[in-house]
Amino acid sequence: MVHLTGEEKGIVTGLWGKVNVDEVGGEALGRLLVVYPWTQRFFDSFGDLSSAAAVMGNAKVKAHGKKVLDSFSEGLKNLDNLKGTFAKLSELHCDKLHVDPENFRLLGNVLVCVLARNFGKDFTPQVQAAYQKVVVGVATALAHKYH
Amino acid sequence: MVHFTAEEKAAVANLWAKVNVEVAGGEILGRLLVVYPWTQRFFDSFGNLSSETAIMGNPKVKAHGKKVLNSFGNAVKHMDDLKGTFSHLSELHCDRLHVDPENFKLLGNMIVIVLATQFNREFTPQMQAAWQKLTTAVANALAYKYH
Repeated sequence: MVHLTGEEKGIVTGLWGKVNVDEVGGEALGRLLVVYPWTQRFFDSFGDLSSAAAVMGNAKVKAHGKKVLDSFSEGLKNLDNLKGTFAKLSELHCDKLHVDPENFRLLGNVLVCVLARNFGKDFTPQVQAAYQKVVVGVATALAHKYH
Repeated sequence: MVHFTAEEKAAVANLWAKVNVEVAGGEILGRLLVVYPWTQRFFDSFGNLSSETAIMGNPKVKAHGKKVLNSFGNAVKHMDDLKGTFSHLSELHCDRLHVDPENFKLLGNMIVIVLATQFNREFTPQMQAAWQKLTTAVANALAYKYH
């Protein structure tokens, strides 16, 4: 179970309050598909993913990115019980979607990168450390029900 | 062996030309020590690493960060022969420094994040993809001589 100090929780929610969840979701998912192209295999039905421009402009990528990040937002409200919060999604990703859990870590790293780009200097080492802890915690929670 | 397209090489070189190696180097190494605190064990002789402020302000961290990033600059100049370029450093890190190669990947991720904080507009998905490819390849080259 991931342990965040009171200060770290404050840092995480403080920054998240400034995040445009709609946009960042699409950006993060899009960048996952561009930077780690094998992840496109999970999104066959999304249409044109043939170039970076196509991926980043793809309406289904943006919509699904928003969905993913909304889910991540829920996690941020329940940092003390990530495994419980993501239990059903963990089962879904294992039993129905067959997603290798390594990809959760990749998405987490891409999200940290997108936050770094959007917040520049405000994405201090301390903020980065807190978020790195969170994305690892979420990735672990999503892998927890795998069998 | 990793293959970079002409476009990827140009993108990497283009961004590299704008990097302040001294400042970025210290930032990258400092963030590694903050975000992944166990990495501090390799830097016992560096003095005060007791807080984020201490680490980011530590002159030995800055100096060593600069040295590491200068070395990474060689990667940018020799993207077609990373294994050869990092052969000696690989032996050094294995035989003398005893660094777990996993840490090279962590440092690589740190480089990507610091570039993201410093180059908002230029750090497009394609740029991120090229740099992720390069840092992964350098990490692999540094691990290549391990035994």
